[in-house]
Amino acid sequence: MNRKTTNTLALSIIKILSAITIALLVIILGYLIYRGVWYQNQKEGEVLPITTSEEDFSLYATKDTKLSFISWYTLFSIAKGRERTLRTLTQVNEKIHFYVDPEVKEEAEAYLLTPIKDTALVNKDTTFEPKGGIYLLKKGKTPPHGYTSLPLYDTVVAVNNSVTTLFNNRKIGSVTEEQVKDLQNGTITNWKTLGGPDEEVTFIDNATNAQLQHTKGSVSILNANVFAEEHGIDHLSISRVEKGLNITWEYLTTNAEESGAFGGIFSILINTLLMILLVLFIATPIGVGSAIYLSMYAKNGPFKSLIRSGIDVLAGVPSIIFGLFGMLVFVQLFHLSFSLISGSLTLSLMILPTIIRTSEESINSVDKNTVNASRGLGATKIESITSIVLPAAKKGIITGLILAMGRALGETAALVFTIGSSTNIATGLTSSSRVLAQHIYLTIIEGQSIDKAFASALILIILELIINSIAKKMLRGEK
Amino acid sequence: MGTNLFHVTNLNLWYGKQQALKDVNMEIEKNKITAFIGPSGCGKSTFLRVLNRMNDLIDDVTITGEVLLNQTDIYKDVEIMNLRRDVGMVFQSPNPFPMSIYDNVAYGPRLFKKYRKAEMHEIVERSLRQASLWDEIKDRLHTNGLALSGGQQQRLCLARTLATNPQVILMDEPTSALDPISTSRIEELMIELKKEYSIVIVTHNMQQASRISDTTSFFMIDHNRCGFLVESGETKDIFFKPRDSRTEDYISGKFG
Repeated sequence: MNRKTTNTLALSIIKILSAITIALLVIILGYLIYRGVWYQNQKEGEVLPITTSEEDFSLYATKDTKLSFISWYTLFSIAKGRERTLRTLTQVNEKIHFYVDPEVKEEAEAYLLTPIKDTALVNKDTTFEPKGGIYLLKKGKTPPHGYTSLPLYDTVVAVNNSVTTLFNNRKIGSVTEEQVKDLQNGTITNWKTLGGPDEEVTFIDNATNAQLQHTKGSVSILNANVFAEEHGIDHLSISRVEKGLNITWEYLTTNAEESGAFGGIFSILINTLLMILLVLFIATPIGVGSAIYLSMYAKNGPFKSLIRSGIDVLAGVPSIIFGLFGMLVFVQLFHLSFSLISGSLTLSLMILPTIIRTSEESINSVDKNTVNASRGLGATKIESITSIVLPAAKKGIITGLILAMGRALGETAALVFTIGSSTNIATGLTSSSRVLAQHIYLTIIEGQSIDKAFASALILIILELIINSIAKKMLRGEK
Repeated sequence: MGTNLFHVTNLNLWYGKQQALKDVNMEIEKNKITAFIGPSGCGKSTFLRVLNRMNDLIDDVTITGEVLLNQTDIYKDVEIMNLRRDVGMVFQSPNPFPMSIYDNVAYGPRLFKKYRKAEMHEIVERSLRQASLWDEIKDRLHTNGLALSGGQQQRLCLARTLATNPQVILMDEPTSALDPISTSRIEELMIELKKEYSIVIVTHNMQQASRISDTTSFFMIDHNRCGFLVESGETKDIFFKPRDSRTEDYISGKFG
C-alpha cells in the first residue's frame, strides 16, 4: 500500500466514524425531542367509539375534565361511586361531581343499571361545581354555564367465548376499529387472521345473549347495557392509539401530582431555580475567593500543590459520593433534614472544584504587568484585584460559573439522599423539594410515567442548551 | 539645581540566597534625567525597582542599606502607597489597563482622593497633554486603552503615571518595545518633562542614554552573578572620558 492510499483510507475511515457519531447524536436528540413533545399510547378501551342507543338524555361535562368521550363502563362506575377522581381517566387531579337531571332519573337508572343517588339529582338551575362536573341532562335542555356536550360511547363487541380462549399459547387481546369493521362486513372470515383460534367468524346483528352463547365463533355489536357478561360470552377490548402533546402550557404551569405521574412541573421548575440560585450564592464567593487566594496570594510550595491536587481529586469524585457525604453531614450531623439547603450545600461542594479551576485559570491569564502597573500607581493588593484583575477575569469566571450551573442543573445522584422529594414549592430552606433532573428519576421510579419523564427530560435539555449557548457566547466574546 | 533627590547608601539586595546588588551608593539629582546602563542581568532594573519598592511584590527579597528620598528613609518612614504615588513608574512593555483611556488616567488619582467630575477631567486633560497624547485621542476618551497603537499606549501609561503628580518618574526600558518614531517622541517628551519632574531611566540603548540623560550610572555583573555599580557621573564624562576601564570597554562595544 502506498502512502496515498493510506491517506485516502484513513480519511474515509475518519469520515465514516464522524458521520456515525453525528447520526447517533441526531437520532438520540431527535428521539428525545419526539418523545418529549408528543405521546402516542396504545390504549385499550371497552367500547367502540360509536353511540348506538337513542336515549332521551345527553351528557355534558366541564372543560377542565379534559374528557373527549365517556364510555358506558366509566359512567357506570362513576354512577356506582367507584370512580371518584379524573386522574385515571384524563390525569386531571380533580374530583368528579356527577349530576343527573331529576327528569331523566328513571331513564338513567335503566340505562346505567344502577340506582342514582339522591345527592346526584340536581336541577339544572342550581349552582354547579365549576370543576370536574359531569351532567346527565334531558335532551334538548341547554346545559349550565361551562358545560359542553360529551359523546357517550356504549357499544361493545360481544363474542362467543370460544374466540377468546387460549389457542396455541395465543389469545386475542384486543382489536382495532378497522378490524371490527372487517368482521362486520365479512372481510375477515376466520379468527386466525386476528391471531385467535381456527374458528369461522359468524357475525350476528343484534344477537341475544343466548345466540352468542351457543354459536361458536359468533360475534355481535351490542349495547353495553344490553350485553351482560354471562357464562359463554365475552367481549373484545378495542385498542386505539391515543396521541397528544406532552409538553403543553399547562404542563409547565401546574404542579406535579403523585410523584410526577400526573400534573405538570411548575413547582419543580421553581424549586430548580431556587436551588440553582442558592448553589450559586453559596459556591460563587467560596470558589472565586479560593481562586483569588490560589493565584494571587498563595506562595508556590507544598501547601499550594496539596490544595491543588485536593481540588483535582474533588473534581473527580463521583457525585453519589458527594450525595452520601451530604446526607451524613448536612442532613444528619447538622440536622438540616432532607431539604433544599442540604441539597444546595451538597451541590455547591460538588461544583466548587469546577469554579475554582476555571476562575483560577482566568485570573492567571490576566496580564501581570497591568497588576504591577496598578501597584506602581500606589494601589493596594486588594484594590488591584478588585479594580484590575476581577474585571479582566470576569468573563472567564462567569463562563465557569455558568458551566458549573449546568452541571448542578443536571445532577441527580448527589441529590437523592439530600434534597428530599416533595413536589411542592419549597417554602423555606429546610423544606423538602425536588428538582428537574431528580424529578425525571423519581417520575420513572415512583410515578411510573415514561411520557412525563420524557417531557421533563426535554425541558431539562432545553435549559442545559440555553445555559451552554450563553456560556459559549461569553467565551466567544472574550476573544 | 544640584539638590539631591535620592540618596542611596550601602544597598544590598538578595533574591532568596542569590545576591543581586552589592554595596550600591548613589545620588540622584532633582530635575535631571538619570540613565542606568549596563549588560543584561547587572541589576539596573532591580535597582530602579528599589526606588519605589516594587521589589516588595516579589517573594523572598531581602534588602539592606538606606534609601533616602528627600531625607526620608523610604523603607522605614514612608507609607508604601504614598511612595509609589510620588515615585511613578513606566514599564518596559506598554500595559494600559483594560478600561477606557479616561479611566486609565483617572485610576491613580481616584485611589487617593475623591475628585469632582470637573477636577478629574482637568487632571486627565493635563496628564494627557503632558504626555502629548491629548490632541490624538481627545475625541475618543472613552474607547478602550488597548485599542491604541503601541507608542500611544506607552504615552498613555506615561500620562497615567503623571496623573498622580509624582516627583520622580522611573522608566524601565520604556522604548524597547517601540518603533523608532514612537521612541523619539517619548525621548522628546522626557526632555520636556524634566523641567517639572525627575526622571530615572533604565536603557539598553547607548545612544538613547547619551542623547537624553544628564547623569549616567554604569552597572556591571561579577562572577557570582551579582550586580554592582561601577561608576556614576555626568553623561558626557561617562561616555567620553570614563574613569574606569570597564566602562570604556562596555561603551566602546568590547563586551555586553
